Amino acid sequence: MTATLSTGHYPLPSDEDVEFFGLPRAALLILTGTGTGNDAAGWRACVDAAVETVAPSIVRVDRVGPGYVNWGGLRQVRAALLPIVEREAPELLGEEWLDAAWKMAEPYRAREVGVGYLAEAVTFAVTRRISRESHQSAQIIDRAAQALLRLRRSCPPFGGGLTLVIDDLHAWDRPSLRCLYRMVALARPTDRMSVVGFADAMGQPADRDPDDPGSRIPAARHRFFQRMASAQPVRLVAVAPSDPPGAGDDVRGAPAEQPVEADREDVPQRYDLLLLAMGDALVFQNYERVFDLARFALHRAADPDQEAQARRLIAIADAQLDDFGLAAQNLGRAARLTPDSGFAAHLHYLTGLIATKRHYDLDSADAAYQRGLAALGDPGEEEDVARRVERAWLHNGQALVLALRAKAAPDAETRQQSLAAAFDLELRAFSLVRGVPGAAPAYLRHNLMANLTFLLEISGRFDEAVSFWRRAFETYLAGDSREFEVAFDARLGLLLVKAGKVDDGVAVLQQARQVAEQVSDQFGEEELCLKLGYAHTAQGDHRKAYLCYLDALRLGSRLREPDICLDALVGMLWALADAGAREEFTAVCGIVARAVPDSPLAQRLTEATGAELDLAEALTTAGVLRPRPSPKLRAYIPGVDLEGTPTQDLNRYLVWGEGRLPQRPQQTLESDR
Amino acid sequence: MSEQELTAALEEVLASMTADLDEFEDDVETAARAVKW
Repeated sequence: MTATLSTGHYPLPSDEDVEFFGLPRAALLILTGTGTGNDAAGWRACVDAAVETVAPSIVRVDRVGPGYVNWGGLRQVRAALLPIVEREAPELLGEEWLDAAWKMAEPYRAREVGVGYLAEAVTFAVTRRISRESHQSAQIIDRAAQALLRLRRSCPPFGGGLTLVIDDLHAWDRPSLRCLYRMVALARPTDRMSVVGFADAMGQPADRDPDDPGSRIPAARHRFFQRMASAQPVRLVAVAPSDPPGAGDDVRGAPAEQPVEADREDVPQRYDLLLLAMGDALVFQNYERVFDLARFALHRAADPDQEAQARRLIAIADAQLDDFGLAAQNLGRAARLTPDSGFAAHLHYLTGLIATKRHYDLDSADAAYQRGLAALGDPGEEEDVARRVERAWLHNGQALVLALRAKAAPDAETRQQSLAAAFDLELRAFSLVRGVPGAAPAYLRHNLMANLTFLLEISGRFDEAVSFWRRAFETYLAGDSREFEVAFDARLGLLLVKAGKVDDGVAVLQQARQVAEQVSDQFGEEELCLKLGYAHTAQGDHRKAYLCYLDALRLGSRLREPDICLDALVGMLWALADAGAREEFTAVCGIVARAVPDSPLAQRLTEATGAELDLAEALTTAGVLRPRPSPKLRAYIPGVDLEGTPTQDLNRYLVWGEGRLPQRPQQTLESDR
Repeated sequence: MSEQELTAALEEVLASMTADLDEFEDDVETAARAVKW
């Protein structure tokens, strides 16, 4: 690939900006043990890759314990590296960047870096949603991976590179596996940073027994390792299922499933703490641990309500793994088990969310919400707070269904009726929790205000949306939470652009980008670059739009996020088309063709590069649509969590989309995340 | 619901939220989650 600078107005991406798409090296080799005793091809692939990446300094990592404990793998990496650092570079031990990574390997100190906040978030958000929330956990994983790389570069014995050898990768927890992946993905070729891991029991897509959460683990493992293997620096190598050199006799094979009658150090005795441990695992999308702990939780449940609590958490893990059938079964069983009608209502609410957000089946969603309301019965005059909160959430779910029905309405009158009914339900929900003390009602109130802003935006009442958003949330800017400031401004900036106050919108988005940069939230910053590209386009400043999209490409490339990079490339092409910069347009098309030749974008662009076509028309004809930013910042980072990307961004559809969403089959495909 | 009624209802929502400022710090975190999620 060659980079040229044609006019200076539109600098083209350099090789470095797009190189990660095509890095040929495999730096995380997973030896699967699924080959035969004479698997010459497997070994050759292994050796070829190893010659490229394996460093002279090899460190063997001890085995992890049972239970896929959060960060158990990283803990063993620390144990393996620490003596070397203590001996060879003790001055590094006081470094803040290294300490931040080690904290994750020490459960009691992990809370200092925000895990307590994350665990709390489960109560408010993850159990109120079916989507994963991985932005914060991605930042922690990224920080740990960056620190390991920096250690490689700073510690003299690793000067020629570092290879970690791991005997039991199949038993590692997901956060640590993501950290390993992230470490090699971020490494430069000169780092010679690699991992060779044995994982001959990495699961398979086996049948799952709804009554045995342990039966989900092999399928979950298989899915995750396949996802890792599809990423650039990872390669699965089928070798014979024999012991790795130097390993003991009992290293290989699937981790034996511990009997649920046994005491295990990582499994809390108290039932409430056991459920909290499942919540901690969900926070890090550590699904195998959720399922493993769930075996104990179901076994120890002293009454139907305890079993229902455990089944709810299992269902959330199922849903986040796209296993919607099993999720629905668990939610249904939990709703039948619990004697608490408020909790039953919550379970019906989750079922309704799956129908809405994953199957786009609005009738089924409505039916689930009605079941929830039926479980609550007549509110009477003095309904307790917990039941009022659940009733309000059900109305909130019904309002989302109505908003989606409005989008698909055949005429303006029906659309208006649906939107009016949606407003009515949101306001009814709000009135149920108005002024009610407590964290759960407070979270719901804020959520409802965010949704009322959505409804104003969907109704095309942009000025009111701006005003409502500001008045609802700007008070909290005085709290000096930088994270809040970024999220608040990201939303406000786009609303201002839609309201025609484009210069104000640009200024607010620029401010948000600056704050994201100050707090080292690069995942937020790359998204803000995309939003700024859109805002500058609305301003008519195609050069600035192009440069913001180019910044998004560079950040996305550095962060190894192909989705962001592809969005950025599309934005760059549209900015060039708007500016009529044909020469640069053709050059960027060529870069896409070389960097990601198999992508749908590259294939479409071959239709858009005809000699005399109007560039914007050519892009439209080829199906490369003008970028429309998501109204909010993402709650998940697929480049780090490796759990995929939704095929439908519901928020984006609500504020930009036209017509009906395609209905999905009941058992949705893996890719629908 | 007419436009005027809706506007009035939204005003009521906003007016009632000032009560939350009593527990301001907690609310900032709560608001941060709600804004994002």
